[in-house]
Amino acid sequence: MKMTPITVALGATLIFLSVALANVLIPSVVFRPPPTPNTRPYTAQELEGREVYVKNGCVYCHSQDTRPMDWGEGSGFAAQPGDYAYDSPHLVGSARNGPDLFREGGYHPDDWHWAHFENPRYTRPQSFMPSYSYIKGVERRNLIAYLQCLGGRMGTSRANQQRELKVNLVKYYEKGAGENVAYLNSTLPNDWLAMPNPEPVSRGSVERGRVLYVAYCAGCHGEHGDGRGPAKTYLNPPPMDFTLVQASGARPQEPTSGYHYDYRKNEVSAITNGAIYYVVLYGIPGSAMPQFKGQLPSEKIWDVGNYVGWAFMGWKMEPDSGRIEELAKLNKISKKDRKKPPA
Amino acid sequence: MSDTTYPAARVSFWERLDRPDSAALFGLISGAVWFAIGVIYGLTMSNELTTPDIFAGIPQLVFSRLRPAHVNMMLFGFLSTAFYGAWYFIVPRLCKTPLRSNRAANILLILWNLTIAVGTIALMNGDTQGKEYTEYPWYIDWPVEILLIVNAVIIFQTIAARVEPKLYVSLWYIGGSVIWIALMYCIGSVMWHPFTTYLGSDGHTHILWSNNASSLPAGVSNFQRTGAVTGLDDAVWNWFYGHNVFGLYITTGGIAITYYLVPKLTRRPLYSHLMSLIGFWAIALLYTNTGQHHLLQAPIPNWLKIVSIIGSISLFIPVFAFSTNLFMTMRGQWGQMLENTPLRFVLTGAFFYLAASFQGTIQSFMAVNRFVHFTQWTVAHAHLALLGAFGFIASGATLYMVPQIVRKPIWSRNFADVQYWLMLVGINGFFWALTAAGLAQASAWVTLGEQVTKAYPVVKPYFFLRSAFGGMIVVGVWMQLINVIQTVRQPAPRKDMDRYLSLSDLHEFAAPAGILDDPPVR
Repeated sequence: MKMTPITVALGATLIFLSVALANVLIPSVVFRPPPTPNTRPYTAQELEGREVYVKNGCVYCHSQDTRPMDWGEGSGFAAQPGDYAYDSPHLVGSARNGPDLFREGGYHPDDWHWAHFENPRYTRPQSFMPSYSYIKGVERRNLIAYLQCLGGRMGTSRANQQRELKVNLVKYYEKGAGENVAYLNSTLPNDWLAMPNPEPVSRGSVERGRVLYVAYCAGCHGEHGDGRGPAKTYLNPPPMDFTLVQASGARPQEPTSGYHYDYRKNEVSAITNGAIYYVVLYGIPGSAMPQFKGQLPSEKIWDVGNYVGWAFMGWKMEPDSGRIEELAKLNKISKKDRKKPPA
Repeated sequence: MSDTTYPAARVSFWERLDRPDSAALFGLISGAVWFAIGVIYGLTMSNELTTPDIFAGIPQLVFSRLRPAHVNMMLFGFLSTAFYGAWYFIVPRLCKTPLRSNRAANILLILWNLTIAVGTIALMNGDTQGKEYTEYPWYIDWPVEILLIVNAVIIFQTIAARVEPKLYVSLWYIGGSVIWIALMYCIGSVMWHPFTTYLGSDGHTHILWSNNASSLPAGVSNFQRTGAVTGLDDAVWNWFYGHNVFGLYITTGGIAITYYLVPKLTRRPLYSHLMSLIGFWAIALLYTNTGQHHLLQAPIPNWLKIVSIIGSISLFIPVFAFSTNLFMTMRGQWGQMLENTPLRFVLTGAFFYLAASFQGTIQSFMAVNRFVHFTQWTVAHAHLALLGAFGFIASGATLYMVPQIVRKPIWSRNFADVQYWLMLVGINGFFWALTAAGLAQASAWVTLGEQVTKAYPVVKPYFFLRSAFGGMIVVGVWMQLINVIQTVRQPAPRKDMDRYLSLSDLHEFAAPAGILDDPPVR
């Protein structure tokens, strides 16, 4: 083959244009997915928030492309072609230094986002996201409005529910710790309030719980459990002050001779181990307490509850008598006695 | 080789621009400077991932704004200018005629450097189109597009005026690259849509001038942002460009330089003309189809995904044609790699190119892609290709061509050698640290079913390693800049120059016969 400048120039151009025709022009003609029912046009404020998102390059660490196999928030609702119908430019992204945000709307309340932009380590101590404290005022509000609309109509509805639930949470917070805890307990299933703790408050459990507390909780609840973490300033209602719960009259009636302590029920404070478990699992919608169900397995949630109880609410340390010892003890009791278990 | 010595008499600015090879020198030095600035950006970003609050509260230095600045600076600052310089060196020599013209090429490079500098500042100030590799705003896109066309004109004018009738393979690649980048840049940047528009409730399309919520009416529809189309199509357009900018611009440009330098430096004829032909037409036809493999995890049509996977697999043809051709040229000559520093750079780059292409094909398999997509593996791959392969080739070209142009020996061979080893160890450590980080992330997300947030502490140690190895690269790159500047600043051309210049007097061995000779001086 004789290569001349004409061959090179013409061949290169024609090949490129024909491939561009197949790869770009034909898709833009035949690939016109209609918006999915869950998708809606952006409001003006959300579009302005999207501008902030684009300007600050959020797309370089946060994809907007939930895959069927993903385990993050919004998993189970994989991205459909029509979900992107109103997007310009696309923000599909190519990296996940941070979580996928395609279904982010409503998983956190507005004030959580506000604190998170101030410094991500306030709400998420392990995060390496930069601080966006320079996005201020209207810009940050617009950006949060945009984040809350991700996930389409479902995301918007979650975000609105968060805003509605916040009203009562603030009201009861202002009434004081005792009433606040009573109200929060009333929102939990009774079975969970009375749920026996399968994990004794042992030295090991508390130590593991401490590590988890530092990694997940300390940003809001503070290193002393007093709810004075760096994020407190931005959150309404503020994070729970566990020490206040212990000191308040919120404790249930105690027997005259000191504590009647049953480690399986932890009846020392008004906040039972089961309640902590439930709240860590599902969060408190409306408040900045997020759900950890996708992140912490069962045993670790009991551990962190044990640490919070032991360190901040006066729960007693128990010997690490595992399930085996417990069964051995049960075995020694005669069959007749076993039918009614000890109090 | 120009034997002209310049009198000490004052020469005007325009005369300086007309000096033979002045554009090549300008391009190569610009490349070295951009390289040195770009790695500082990279190191800064790397440190921000390990210690996120070092520049907290400074919008221009936030990670997510430095990233497009870094990527575009490396792409359009470093690699582009270094390649233009190398092309302006190669094309006249292969055509045996002066560049048409050095003045135009010099002015182009001045404007190009200005454009990239302004573009970098724009990106750091948040003025971006928001699509990877096409981030430059429209007022940068248009100058870039015009300069790309001017560059194509300069190259083709020189080729048209050639004395040597035969067209060496490097010229095909250079000719293709300058056309392809000019065509794809306007596709990728959606340049015909410079303003953000929306369809108002009155049924007319309006331009969004100001950037605040009150300027947008309530029922906004058909929102189309600057430099973008609407919907998932935008991603298709974006990634068609996003991969071809490497495949049909950086890759082909780097291959052209390798095809010139390896026969030239080793004095061995190129192994096979047929393989060059296969490689060139295969890269044009097959590499062009790979773009959509960036969207294998997004809901684009399946046939597009399949086209891209087939394109990625058949990439083996041009890659192996090129590598075989090159390595067969080197047969029996590998010892020269130890003695000749520029050759070592170029061949190391060729090895990295083979590795990166091989990895790229493997990555496009669905089973691999669903595992490693979105992780740091991708970042490792990108650096293997752009820094490992084409960064090394550009460095080799700079270290060979700058002494040739100024007719002075390289200022310090030791500097060049130390630079080589720093960059080699740096990119290897960098690559493996990030690959390990990517595999760790992928294992957490896919195998263990953990959320992305759980992998934060997992990748942190690898990020520290990346900073450490990245620091080695930074030192190496700055040594290159010092070496180049000192080479140019040396007092006068030396009489015994040819002893220092590697192999410049052995043209008759180069192949095809005589084609690598230097052009006559105008």
